[in-house]
Amino acid sequence: MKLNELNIQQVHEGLSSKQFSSGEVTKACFDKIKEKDEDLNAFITITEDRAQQEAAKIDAKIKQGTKIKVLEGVPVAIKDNIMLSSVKATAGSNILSTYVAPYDATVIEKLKKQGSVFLGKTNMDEFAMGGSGETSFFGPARNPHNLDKVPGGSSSGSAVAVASNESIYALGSDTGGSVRQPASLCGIVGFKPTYGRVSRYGLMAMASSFDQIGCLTKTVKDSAYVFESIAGVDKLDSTTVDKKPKVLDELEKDLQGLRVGVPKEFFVKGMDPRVEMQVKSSIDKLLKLGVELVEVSLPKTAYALATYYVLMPAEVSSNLARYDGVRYGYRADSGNLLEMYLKSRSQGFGEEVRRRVMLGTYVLSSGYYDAYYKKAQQVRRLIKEDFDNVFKQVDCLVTPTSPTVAFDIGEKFDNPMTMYLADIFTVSVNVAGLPGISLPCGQVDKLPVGLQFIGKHFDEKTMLGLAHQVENIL
Amino acid sequence: MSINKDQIEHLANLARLGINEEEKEKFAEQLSSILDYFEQLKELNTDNVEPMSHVFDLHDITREDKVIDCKVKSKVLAEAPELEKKQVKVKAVFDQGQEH
Repeated sequence: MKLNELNIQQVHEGLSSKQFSSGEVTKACFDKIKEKDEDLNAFITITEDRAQQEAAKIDAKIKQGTKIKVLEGVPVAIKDNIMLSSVKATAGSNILSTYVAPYDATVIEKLKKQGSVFLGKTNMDEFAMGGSGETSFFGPARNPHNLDKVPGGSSSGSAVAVASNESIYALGSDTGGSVRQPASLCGIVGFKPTYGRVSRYGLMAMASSFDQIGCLTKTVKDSAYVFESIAGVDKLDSTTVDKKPKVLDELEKDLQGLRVGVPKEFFVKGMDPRVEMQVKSSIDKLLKLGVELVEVSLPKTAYALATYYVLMPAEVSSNLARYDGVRYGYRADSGNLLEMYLKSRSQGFGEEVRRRVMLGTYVLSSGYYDAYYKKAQQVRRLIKEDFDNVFKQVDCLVTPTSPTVAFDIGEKFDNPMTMYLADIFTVSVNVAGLPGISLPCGQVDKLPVGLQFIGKHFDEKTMLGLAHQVENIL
Repeated sequence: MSINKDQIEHLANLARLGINEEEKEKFAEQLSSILDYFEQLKELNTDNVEPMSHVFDLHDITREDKVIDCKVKSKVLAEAPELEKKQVKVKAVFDQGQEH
């Protein structure tokens, strides 16, 4: 097995027992990037010199006999909307195409303390708006299972980098499914923690009440390692909670008697029947673990997508007001200030971003606020209450991650509504602020299918334990 | 719910987005179909439901109001498209004889 094909745990074991060096693992990743990334387009920026220096430092430490932490010396790829100081951070947008991050995001600071090796910044839908990777100013990333297919989005490059073994793991951000859905379409694990677990400081805000940083890994256990390293309260993000997660010790816990809910509303018309069959047969296998499967109902599920597509653009339209060509980013030549705003933002933003800014401006505008924005906020509460009720009956939920396998590049690009439906099984998790994880559960047409688990607020340990043990029997 | 070209123009202006004729038509059509999709929310009775702006009940977090040195001042300024004496330079807000 090549070094770039290893997972976090294997790299850590190999480094600790001096079977290979961090420099060698890092080189293996860059070799793969050089061989494949022209086709895959997973990276916007690669930071090879810097990564090799970071790896050399860790190798010197190991040579001296110092015990290393689990992520120490392990290469990682970072979604390009997360700030890594002194490296370009474009968020997949023309308006930030030359922008260099002046500081580190809190997650980056934490990963640096762990001794991480940063390979570079990954491609993504512009400002994380998209479910296919196609809205990137830098062109679409491609699915390593079939280059004509999308990898999903918006953390497209992060998913591709891990699935193609260009990186050992990656960070992404998940606002409506942007970690779990590309993980599903690329056949890897994608984990979004409970809202408030991971600091958003240094993550470019898209929809602040939904955004959460997550990870894309090769195994569930790897996600648990990353989670323990990046979670925690941060005074720079006042929505973070003061609860330190302990999940690794719980992964092997006996699941006998655990109640797992199967929400009937997640098996609906419009879903590819072969994907549905694959997911259902995977769910049946859960019985082998001694868990109890319970059919449950989340009656407001059908309204989650509409709720999300009212509230998210509203938050987008205010968050993206800062990109105006004044203090940083692209500034268009113009005669006066108003013209500068209009031109910088029309030339700097792609079509999907502009569409959402317009939509958000509309639902917040006077005369429509109550009918759309306030109404959606009320429905949001009803959706959350649905989950609260169901979690009185069961410990965890299992659903499909995506209604289809990876689709053709270009297939859904011209019709925004069709593209939005790709998020149908993932958005309600963000609407309710819950933790969710997607793991591979077989293939249809030689393309990966994903199985999603949804946990209670701050109960990642039950969800990860279940997902970890399911991974071993699928 | 349908949205017309005039409304699109108004929204684009509110959002400070330059927009051309072709796009006005396209966005009018697309936004109308997205708003149609939102109609389903009206099926739900939300009388007396408190709007939820955030998943958890947030409370204000305060801190002492003191100046902390920003160590990345030069890096931040380096990102400005135009600088003059360490200040960001922009076009005049008001042109002579022109109102906004």
